[in-house]
Amino acid sequence: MAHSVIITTPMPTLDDIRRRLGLSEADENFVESLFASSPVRKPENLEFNPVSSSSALSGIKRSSAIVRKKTNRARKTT
Amino acid sequence: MLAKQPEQSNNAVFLNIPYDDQFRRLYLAYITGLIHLGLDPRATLEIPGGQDRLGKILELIRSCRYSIHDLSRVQLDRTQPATPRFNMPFELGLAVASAQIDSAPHDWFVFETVHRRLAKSLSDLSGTDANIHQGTVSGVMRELCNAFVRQSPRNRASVPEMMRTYHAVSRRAEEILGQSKARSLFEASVFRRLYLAAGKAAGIPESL
Repeated sequence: MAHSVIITTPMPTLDDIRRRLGLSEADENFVESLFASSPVRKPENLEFNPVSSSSALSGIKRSSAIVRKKTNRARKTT
Repeated sequence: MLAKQPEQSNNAVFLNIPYDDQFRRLYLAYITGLIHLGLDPRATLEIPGGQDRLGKILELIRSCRYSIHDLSRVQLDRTQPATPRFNMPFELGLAVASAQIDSAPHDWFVFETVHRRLAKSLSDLSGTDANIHQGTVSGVMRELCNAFVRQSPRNRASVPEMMRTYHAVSRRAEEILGQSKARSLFEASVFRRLYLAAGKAAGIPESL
């Protein structure tokens, strides 16, 4: 197994990042605008969609039924 | 004679990867993944052209507490004359030497796509286990989490969280490229903007 290191340094802030990169105001404004139009969805804001799993399952059932029907039809014709 | 030890940053990770379009997804994965983990990716693309490039690369490696060397690009490139890329193993050699000789500590990691290929491509490193990412973004995130473990469980990131950061930045990469008037994502101006975008996407707080 590859080795691991334990990181003990504090997590940086965006201010730390700005200082490190020496960003211009134009860089800053541009990146700001990227996120203004479509903000990032945080995990806690993600909604649970109870329909998706069941509908996906019924989709599988439906597609396997279609395959069965096609196979039966193929058997009849041969 | 070895130049004076440069000041080392404990958060800095020297990123030694191929700079080409085929590697674009994994390049974004490394940048966003490291930033999500609260680390500071450093790359040779930050070094301006000019004299003594090799000296500046060595200084950058020595100023980083860690380094990642992706040795997955072993194929010949398509441009004639077809040649393999030697930059990655060469810079790995510099990092290994730095770890052996310098007084400041330096941990280096080798990332690869294929299991056990490293033993064949670079047998001098036999006994070194590579982090195998299988050439996927989620594989890179998983191996970054395996390599860098935050002491405080509160600050540990999960692969799904890191993937969200990756997708948020990846969706905006074309816009960043276009707005920066750059020819590729592997330019210093684009790197800076991707870096800040990844910080915002990862939910890093403005200040303490």
